[in-house]
Amino acid sequence: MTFTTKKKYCYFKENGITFVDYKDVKLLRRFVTDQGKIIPRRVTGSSAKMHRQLVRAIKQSRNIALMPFTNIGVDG
Amino acid sequence: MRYYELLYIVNPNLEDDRINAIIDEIGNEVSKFKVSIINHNLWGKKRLAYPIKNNKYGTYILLQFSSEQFDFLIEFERSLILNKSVIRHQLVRLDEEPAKVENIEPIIDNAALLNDEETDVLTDDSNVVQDDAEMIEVVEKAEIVEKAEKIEEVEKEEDTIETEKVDDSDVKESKVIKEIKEGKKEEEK
Repeated sequence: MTFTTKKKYCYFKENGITFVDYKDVKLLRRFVTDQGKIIPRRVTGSSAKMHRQLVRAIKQSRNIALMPFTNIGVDG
Repeated sequence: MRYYELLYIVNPNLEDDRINAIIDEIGNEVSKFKVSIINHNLWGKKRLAYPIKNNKYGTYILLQFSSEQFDFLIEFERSLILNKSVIRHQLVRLDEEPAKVENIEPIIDNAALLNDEETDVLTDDSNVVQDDAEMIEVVEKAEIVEKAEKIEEVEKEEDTIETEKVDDSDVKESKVIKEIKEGKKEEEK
């Protein structure tokens, strides 16, 4: 049995994104679990610089109700 | 010169005339403070990620402006809080000058609506879809494992070949050296 680890890469570097916009919900949803939690950097593999921006953008879009704080116990 | 962006949510139950009135009102409020407005667009009615003041939906409006001063922001935000038809607002400072958008962007709204519909469909046929997905995953995993094993074997073979080559070359080198040495000895004689 062999374990092959998939190589992680920074999504933003690959796609040439230098600024994360809090209004771009489609992008931000990639970095959030089904519950609405922010996925850690060690899992997504994004660079430290972009992850800081990403976290800020997610929190801003939560404030303005574009993204959920949590999906638990919310009626659809 | 600093650039700011204000995204605010207006009560969705208001009529279009009333919403336009609010847009004008807030536009006038900002322009009191020697501010140049870049964009002031209506996004339209959107479903909120969580209810705010018992509202499930909200009308989003985006305002982008630039100004030399920044003392007035506290006062301006206070006026937004006091405005009863504005449910929630967020003021953000931008690093770069925003591009002018003249047309309203219905794409964002449609995308959100589509997403909602998709999720609904998925929940209806979730069992079938999940089963299929699991089967596919299992098959894919098996394939990946097989591939990995094959690759390893190939790599091992390559390694052995390389080592053999290295050995050969070593032997050849040593032979050459010996020959040279012998040649030198003969010359000396």
